[in-house]
Amino acid sequence: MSVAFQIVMPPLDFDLASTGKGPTSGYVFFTSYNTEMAGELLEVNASQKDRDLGAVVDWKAAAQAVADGKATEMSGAKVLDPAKVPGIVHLLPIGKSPHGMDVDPTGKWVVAGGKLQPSTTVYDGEKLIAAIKSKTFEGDFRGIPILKYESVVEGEVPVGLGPLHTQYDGKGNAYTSMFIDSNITKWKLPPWTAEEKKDLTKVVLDKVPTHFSTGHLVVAGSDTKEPYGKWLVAMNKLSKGRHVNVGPAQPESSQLIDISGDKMKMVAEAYTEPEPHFAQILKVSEIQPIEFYPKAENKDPDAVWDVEQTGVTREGQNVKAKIIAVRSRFVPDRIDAQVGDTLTVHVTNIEQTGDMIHGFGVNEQNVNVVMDPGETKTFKIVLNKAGVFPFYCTNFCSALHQEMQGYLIVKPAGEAAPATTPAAAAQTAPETKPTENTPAVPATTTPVAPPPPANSAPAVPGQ
Amino acid sequence: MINLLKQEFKFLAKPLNLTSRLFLVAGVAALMASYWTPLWRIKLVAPQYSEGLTLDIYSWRIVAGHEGQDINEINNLNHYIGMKPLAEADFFEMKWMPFIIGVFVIYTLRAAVFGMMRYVVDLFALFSYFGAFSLGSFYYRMWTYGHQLDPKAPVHIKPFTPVIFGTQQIANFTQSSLPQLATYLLAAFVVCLVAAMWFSRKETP
Repeated sequence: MSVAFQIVMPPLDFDLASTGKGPTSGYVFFTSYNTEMAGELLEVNASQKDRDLGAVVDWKAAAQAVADGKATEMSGAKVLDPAKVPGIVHLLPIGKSPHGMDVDPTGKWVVAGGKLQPSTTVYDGEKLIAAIKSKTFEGDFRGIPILKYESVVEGEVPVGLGPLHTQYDGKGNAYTSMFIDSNITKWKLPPWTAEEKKDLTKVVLDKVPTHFSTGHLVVAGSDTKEPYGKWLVAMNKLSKGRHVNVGPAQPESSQLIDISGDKMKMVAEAYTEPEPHFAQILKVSEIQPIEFYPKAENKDPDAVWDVEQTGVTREGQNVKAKIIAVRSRFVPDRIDAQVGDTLTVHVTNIEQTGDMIHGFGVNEQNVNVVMDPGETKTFKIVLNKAGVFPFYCTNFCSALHQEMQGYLIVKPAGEAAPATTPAAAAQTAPETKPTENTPAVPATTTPVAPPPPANSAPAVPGQ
Repeated sequence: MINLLKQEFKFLAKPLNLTSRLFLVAGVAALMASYWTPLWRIKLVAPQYSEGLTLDIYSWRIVAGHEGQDINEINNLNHYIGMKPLAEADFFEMKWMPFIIGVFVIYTLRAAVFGMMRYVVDLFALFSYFGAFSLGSFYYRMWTYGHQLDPKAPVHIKPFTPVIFGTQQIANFTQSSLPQLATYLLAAFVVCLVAAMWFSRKETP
């Protein structure tokens, strides 16, 4: 992926975008607030006008304009100015302080709620494109034409206070989150009868209270052409009083609503991390992820899969360790270095089993990486402190997870630099050469393996 | 007509019997007790504030719910619609209300000690005026808060008068406003005055 082009826009606060489909295919809809272009106290000064502006972007036309050489180069990006290249961007009046336009599954209806307006506005996508073609404008904003509101709007549905986002069930119903009123409001999409059109309160079908102040919401498949939704999740911004008091920092509540019947039914509630934003409900069958990274597909040049390939090597002041992580050990489990060295660690989790994740943390070195099964991770540390620093698995893996550890030994500067440890010479997995020295056997006479200091020796039995 | 005036003079000159005097003393007790309990409670309930935000209005102070936090919360919410913040200092009535009630206490004791019907009539007239004025002033204040909205506020709502007696819906809030014990105590004081007049109506000067 790379940036194809950019469009320079007036200094409004643009936020959410959604793409058209069906009749509106090829268009992207944005909303913005702060039509006032206020620079201070936006709460008040960006809320003065009764309408803000949405942007309807014909991205195919924009791509064509770029291909035709109508873009200018700015800091390496191809930039289009819609005031100079007409037909690419049209603005659209929207209810005060909107937060996104939501295209319905047919692509014909585009809905935007103004947070500070007690209604949500339904635009007719076909009329919208017709207005663009016939240039039915009511003015312009810094050279970008504004579509005539009356020529594109189908109706303003009085859904309640604080309408934010709208989702669809594919059966002609829309569901809008009400931030201020704190509910989900179900209403009927057009076409409306003449009687309904005269009094749009008649298309408001049902309301279910939420707890509290719903922001985003999701209906299964709403953003596709064929929603498969029997369920709606309301992502609320406040949970006050819904769960036991856990102190000043509180989770939010998210609520599951059954929308299969005429009346919505609240069925469950769970407490989610704060600021739940945007969600999709997908069928499990649509997602088939791998369970681990297969060995054959690991192309990392520093990956090691065999004990024979592991080891610590030195080139000048650069020390490189290639390490295997497997239940419940690191091989090698000792890295010798010296103050002033730069240590590069390549650690490969050679497990080929689902959910067998290992971590690699180094005490006092601010390092903690997590390797999924079959994954190789690399990190670098500049060693500026002498000492023995335990490294250990940081993702619980087995009954001997805590024993999955080793030592980084950093000698003071000035002493003879430790010799390179050839691969698998000094340290080897116990099952291959069980007689070789390991730090867990303090009685060893080998000079290369001093027992770790008592204060950093969690491998002492009984601990 | 002359006869009627004569009768009235006769009535005003009546002494008070013991029952009437005791009623006046009871009235004094009610007046004094009103100091310690709220006159009125304003409550705001919304989905996000299901437990409600409360303001208890005493004759001399405002006590907000949640250890005083509710007045800040109400002011914070009101700023969206451009309502002036409620501040106790703005309620100048609260400075002189206790003084006026003190005057009524002394004057009622005077009536009880001197045992004169005309003092009770005085009290009844003055207190009725005081009650009507206070209610009117309370209504005017509410009207002012609801009508002097900053036109630059983020949310525009139609000017309104917060309800004084009963319940109404304002945006997502249900606002209720009802008299509390102190108001009933002040009403009891009036009842005591009427009783004092009633029980001495047959006394002769």
